[in-house]
Amino acid sequence: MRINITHKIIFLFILLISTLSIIIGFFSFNYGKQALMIEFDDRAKALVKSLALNCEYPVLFDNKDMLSSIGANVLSLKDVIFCEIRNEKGQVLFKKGIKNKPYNHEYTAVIQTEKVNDVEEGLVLGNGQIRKFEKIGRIQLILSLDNIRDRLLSIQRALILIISLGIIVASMAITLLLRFVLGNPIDKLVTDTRIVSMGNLDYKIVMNTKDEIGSLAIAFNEMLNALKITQNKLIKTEKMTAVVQIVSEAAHEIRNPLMVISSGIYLLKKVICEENPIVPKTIKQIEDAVSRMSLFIEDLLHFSRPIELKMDKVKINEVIKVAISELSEGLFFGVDMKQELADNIPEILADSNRLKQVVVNLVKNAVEAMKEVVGKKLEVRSEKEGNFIKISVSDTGKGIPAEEIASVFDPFHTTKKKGMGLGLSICNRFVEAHGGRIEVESEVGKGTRFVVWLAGETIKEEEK
Amino acid sequence: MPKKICQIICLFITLLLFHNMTCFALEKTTVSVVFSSDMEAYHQAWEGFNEFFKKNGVNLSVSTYNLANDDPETVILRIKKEKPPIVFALGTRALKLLKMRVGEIPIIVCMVINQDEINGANITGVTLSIPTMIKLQWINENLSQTKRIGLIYSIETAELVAKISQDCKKSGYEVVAQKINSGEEITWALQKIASRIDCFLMVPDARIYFPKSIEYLLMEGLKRKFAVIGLSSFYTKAGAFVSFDCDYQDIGRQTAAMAMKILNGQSPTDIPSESPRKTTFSLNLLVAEKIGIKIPPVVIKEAKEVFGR
Ligand SMILES: Nc1ncnc2c1ncn2[C@@H]1O[C@H](COP(=O)(O)OP(=O)(O)OP(=O)(O)O)[C@@H](O)[C@H]1O
Ligand SMILES: [Mg+2]
Repeated sequence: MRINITHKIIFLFILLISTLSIIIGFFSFNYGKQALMIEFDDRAKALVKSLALNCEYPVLFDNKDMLSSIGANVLSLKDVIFCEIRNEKGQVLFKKGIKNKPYNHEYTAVIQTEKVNDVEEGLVLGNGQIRKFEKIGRIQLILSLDNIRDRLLSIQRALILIISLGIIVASMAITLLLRFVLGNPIDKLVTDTRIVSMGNLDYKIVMNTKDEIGSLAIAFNEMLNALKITQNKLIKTEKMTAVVQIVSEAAHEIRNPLMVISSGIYLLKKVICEENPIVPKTIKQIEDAVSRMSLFIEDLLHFSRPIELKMDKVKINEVIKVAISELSEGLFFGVDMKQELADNIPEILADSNRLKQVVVNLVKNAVEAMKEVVGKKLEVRSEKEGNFIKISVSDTGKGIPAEEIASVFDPFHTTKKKGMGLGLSICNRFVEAHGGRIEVESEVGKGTRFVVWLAGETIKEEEK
Repeated sequence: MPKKICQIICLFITLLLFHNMTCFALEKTTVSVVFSSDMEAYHQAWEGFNEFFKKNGVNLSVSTYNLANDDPETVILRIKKEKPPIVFALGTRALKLLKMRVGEIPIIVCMVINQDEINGANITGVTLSIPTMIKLQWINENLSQTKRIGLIYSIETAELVAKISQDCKKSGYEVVAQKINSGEEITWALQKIASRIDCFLMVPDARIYFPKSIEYLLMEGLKRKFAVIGLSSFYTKAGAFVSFDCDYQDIGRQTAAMAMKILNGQSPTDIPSESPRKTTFSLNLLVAEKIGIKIPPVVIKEAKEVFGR
């Protein structure tokens, strides 16, 4: 059987109350017993003394009739079971009663009489202060303790009854109280904790008490939150590790063909005549793309390490323009493209290639989201808001369902057949490396907007 | 005329001178006093003793001893050292101590019951015992129906009882006496004589009489309707019909007169011991009523103390 804490506390309380009551009961019983015994003793002593006084006359003059009437009187008194009167010579003058009962007390007193002092004129002049007593006999009384025992027994019984009743009532009261105050909240805490332990980290423990148990519930909830965050981070990190594994392998494979392509382009640039102006332009585009690609590969290779930014003075509007221009024009087919770039945007220290990559990825995603949509509108904006520079990419695409929105930045999260699900993940890393962040707002069927926030002020200060 | 005045003046001067001479005669006399105990009666007697000397113009220088507090041997030693012209003993204890121990010093004694104790060449004094004749006379006058007088005694008082019996017979009374050994026997002794007596005369016998036996006697007297004649007013108060008392202060004076004689040079041997010269009696009217005795108011008036009124 499982003993819970409430039971333990109740048990302890009952133990305490019982011990206390038993001790108090024991002492009061003993006190009462003593008081009764003292009273009994006093009464008996007074009785035997007054009896001795009464017996002076009959013992002195050997009046047996008087003695037997005195004796009969005494024996009729409560508790007196035996009475014996002897004279000084030891002769029994009166004897009656039962002597050998188990519980009794014996009391004796000397019977004495006053005699005149040896000075004879005392008889005439009065005795003055000189008094002389002579022993003339002895009285023995035996008193039974049965009555006292009966009384003590009934007192004992009453005490036991009262104490047990008290213990029961107190225990019941304490049990109820503790069950209500302590037991229920603890039980609830236990069931709630069990629910959480079954994996439901979103569960919130609701506790109405404001005592320690309430605080415990609050602390528990806080712990749950922290656990959830850590767990999410852990999952991300796990995913990341996997990504790094795959990506670094892939990059390694890609790097060699890229080397071939870039050396091929180098040769082509030398060989191809410049009759057709499109050729060198295309070659240049290819060369740029390849170099960007190799950079990207490098990044991928360094995915696990912190990104090393090549900081330079960057004009954000330029970066946006270059990024869009680098995307193939076929991509924007049927798209109503709009650029609203603010003039007041300061130069910042940043890695232009990385930022370009961010813009490219966001624009690509936007266009892809509008593939099956009529009325494709794409807007790229740059503006200054306070100390921040804000780059936003909005589209009128299919939008992102609410439940997915939190995981769009996760690596390998994709809804596309040919997608890798790495685009936004890389964007997030780059922006975070710049000390900024990316936000998403989206409504299914209406469109999506990605906003990149970059710090403008800090760079200014660095310039100074 | 001037001659006569001269004579008167001369007489006056001689009177004055004479008066002065008596004053000169007031010399200091040393007396040692030994009290047996602190009993009130002893002090009364001592007061009377003192009073007598003062009245007679003798200035007493007293060294007082009290056997209740003082060690008997030191008392003897100090008296021997002081060598007073007379030692005054109050009570039997003091007398018994001084007897034979103080040599030639005369001892004057009072407050002793037994006349036989006052024996010896240098001892004399006043006893406490009231003469039987006085008591019998009172009985004759006031208890006229009385014919038989009861007595209970022990070996201690055998002699005294013999004397009393003689006196009674002389006065025409029959004596019913019973000898017993101790006070406890008073019950059967009384049973034996109660029906044959009209009046019971107590004798100062410490062997027979103690509070419980006295109580028994007095109760029995009430029951059997005989008049008990007690030893002092205490007994009357306790339930005796009548008791005779002496005036303790007067005993003191009486003794002082005897002491004066000794101081003036008389030998104690020449001065016989005396009985108290002044006696009173006390009555218990309640007891009188119970045992059916009518007492005339004159007698009641005469009594020094009346109880049970
Ligand atoms: N503008 C947008 N509108 C609607 N959904 C979007 C938008 N941008 C991203 N998404 C959703 O986010 C997912 C993740 O995008 P991400 O760019 O990280 O990967 P991908 O585009 O699927 O693949 P790739 O690695 O080729 O970019 C997409 O699959 C898409 O479902
Ligand atoms: Mg993408």
